[in-house]
Amino acid sequence: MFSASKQLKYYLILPSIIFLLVMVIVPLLYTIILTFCNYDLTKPQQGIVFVGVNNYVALFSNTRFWYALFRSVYYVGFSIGVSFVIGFGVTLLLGGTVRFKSFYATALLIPMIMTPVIIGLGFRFMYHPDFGILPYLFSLLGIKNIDLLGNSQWALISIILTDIWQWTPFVIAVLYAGLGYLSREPFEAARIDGASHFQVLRYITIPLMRIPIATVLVIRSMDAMRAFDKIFMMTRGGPGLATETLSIYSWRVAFAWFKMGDASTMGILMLLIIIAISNILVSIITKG
Amino acid sequence: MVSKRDKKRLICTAVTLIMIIMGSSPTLFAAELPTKYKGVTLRVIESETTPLFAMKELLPEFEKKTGIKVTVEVYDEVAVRDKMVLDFTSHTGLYDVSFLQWWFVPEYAQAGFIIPLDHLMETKSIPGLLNLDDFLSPILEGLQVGKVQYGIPYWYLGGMLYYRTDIFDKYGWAVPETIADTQEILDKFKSIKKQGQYDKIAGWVGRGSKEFDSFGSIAGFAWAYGSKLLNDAMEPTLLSDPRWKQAMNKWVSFMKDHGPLGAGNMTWYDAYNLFMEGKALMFTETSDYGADFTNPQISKVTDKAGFAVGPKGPAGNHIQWFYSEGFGINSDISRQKKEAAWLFIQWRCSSETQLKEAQLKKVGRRFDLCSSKVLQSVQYMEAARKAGAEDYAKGILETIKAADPSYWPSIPEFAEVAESVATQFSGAIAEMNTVKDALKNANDDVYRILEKAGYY
Repeated sequence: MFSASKQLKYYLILPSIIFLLVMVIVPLLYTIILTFCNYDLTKPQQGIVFVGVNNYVALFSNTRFWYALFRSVYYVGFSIGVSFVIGFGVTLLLGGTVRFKSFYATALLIPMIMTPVIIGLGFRFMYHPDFGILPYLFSLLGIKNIDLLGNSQWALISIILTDIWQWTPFVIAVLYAGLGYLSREPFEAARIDGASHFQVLRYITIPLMRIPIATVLVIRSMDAMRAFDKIFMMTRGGPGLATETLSIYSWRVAFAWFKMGDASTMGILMLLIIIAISNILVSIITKG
Repeated sequence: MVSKRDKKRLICTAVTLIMIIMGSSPTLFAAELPTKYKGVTLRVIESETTPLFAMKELLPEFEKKTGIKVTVEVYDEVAVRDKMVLDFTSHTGLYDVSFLQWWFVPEYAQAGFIIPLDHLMETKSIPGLLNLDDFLSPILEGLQVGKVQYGIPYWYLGGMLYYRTDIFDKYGWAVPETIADTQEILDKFKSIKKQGQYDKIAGWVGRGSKEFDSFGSIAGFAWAYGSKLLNDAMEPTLLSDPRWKQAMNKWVSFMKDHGPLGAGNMTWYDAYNLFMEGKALMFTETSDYGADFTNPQISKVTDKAGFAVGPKGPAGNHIQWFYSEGFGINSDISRQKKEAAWLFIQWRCSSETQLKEAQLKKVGRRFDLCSSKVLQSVQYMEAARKAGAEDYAKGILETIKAADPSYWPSIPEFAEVAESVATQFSGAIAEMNTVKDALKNANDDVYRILEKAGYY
């Protein structure tokens, strides 16, 4: 039926398919099934009980879930919004005539290559009200007795700023690569026609860069939605529920309370939210 | 010339004398440890706490005497629970003996993860090795479910008040015996701070974080007012019992108005470090910090730390912080290993071993023991005196006498219930909500959890 060369192709991709099935497809299907079941690891005598959509109903009527979802969306919006604006600005600067460009481009990538856990731990010390460098700097400006991570209004923002610090270099890296591939002719033609910098940016640069922009926003929103390490290291979701995002809440349900049905439901909802956000972003940005 | 017969007699006499001398050595147990489990390897999982370090110092003696090889896997508190539950639920039988925190015992017992020890206690105990009468009944009850013993304790912690003796002495303050006394001292200290002194020292510290262990501070404080989380019908009483409101108003006020910045995120470790660095006036906590606070190598309050039993509340109850740890036997264990595991537990938790822990030179030495026989012995106080921890040791005995776990919700759903309650009051301390809202939300959450679990 298939020629030898076609058969070879399938054999060569077979390991990848097996890997995908075992590590992605099967666990995903199992997780989806668990969302329709009541499964508590610490109650093995009850086993896995099919409960229909009860887990979804219980979740949607749980105010803690909605608070966590709101915080996750807030986290995503704030983080990617600010990191994109800063990242794009730096990209444009690097795209111009700047001395030691290679050095800046390399140095700016350093935060991105550090592990989030170490960054979380480091910033937790930097924010410490007694011996942290940031409260000390604030005190030089006359703002004393400040504990950002212990303040319910500032804790989440403080963590988001850490996230921005870490992932803006990623935005820069992708956009800079995208900028480098653009043809020079439209820019030269625009300058000849007397277009201002803002007009060049608005009508040429941004439209031509919509694919890398869409890429960076989709990837950043996926990462921000799943953000766990830094929040866990810095506040564990506290004080109270001030920094409890969906990822932190679902971790607690799964690994502190061992309620796998409830945790799977949250995980699948997070996946659907990420898919929805990604599709919306891509369709808006790549329209036309 | 000595004949062959006389030589034999001499050798026998010498051997007998040597055996008598060795038999009177203080390193031997009063009880004879059997060697019939020689060659058995026991796998023990434990959390990285002070009893572990003490046990590791004494373990070679047990292994030599019994021929049992004991391998100990050590993890932090969170990871050890994950590892244990994974082993329990997958029935891999990786561990034979599990470290039990008393608040998870109902959960493990209900799930059949650990076995009852009553049969082993009745039929396989080594005479003179482990005497359960050495433990006060509340300590043993901490590892029981429905009067069935699932673990034997090697560690008990009670509610202890730690305070700065230098500041107290300077202003002539008596050690507070009640919460009202405590409030009075805190108010005076606040006034002194307003004058510019001790600005780096917080009046009160404690567990304000949202983690489930903060529930221990909240519930123990509420018990001083006579409040328990659940009534006899297993319903939450946070709204129905007005004493909860009084207790929580006071607790949140202590943390918010007299505590340091970020009290809503404070863990036991933060509170412990603040006091050790000389940045806290007083706090009530578990009674295991004294050895560290009196250790000149790590503490800045070595000769300034005072220890007393937790103050009493309006109901006449001491502020509690009941905590017990022990060893239990996993249900997947083989029959042969089961008896060896029971021998190990008897040795580990025996009064003799506990006394040796207090007598260790430095590494592993601890005084927060749970055998009241040891705590009242001359040898224990002598060891504490030599280590400069005599006051602490006396405080331990007082907290043990005040032990009262009757306020605790010993239910399998403890982890979720405790975290739900702690989260709300962490929010109240951080001014995310009021105490009234925290009580209502916590009450609703606990009711929802128990309703889903089938209690009503």
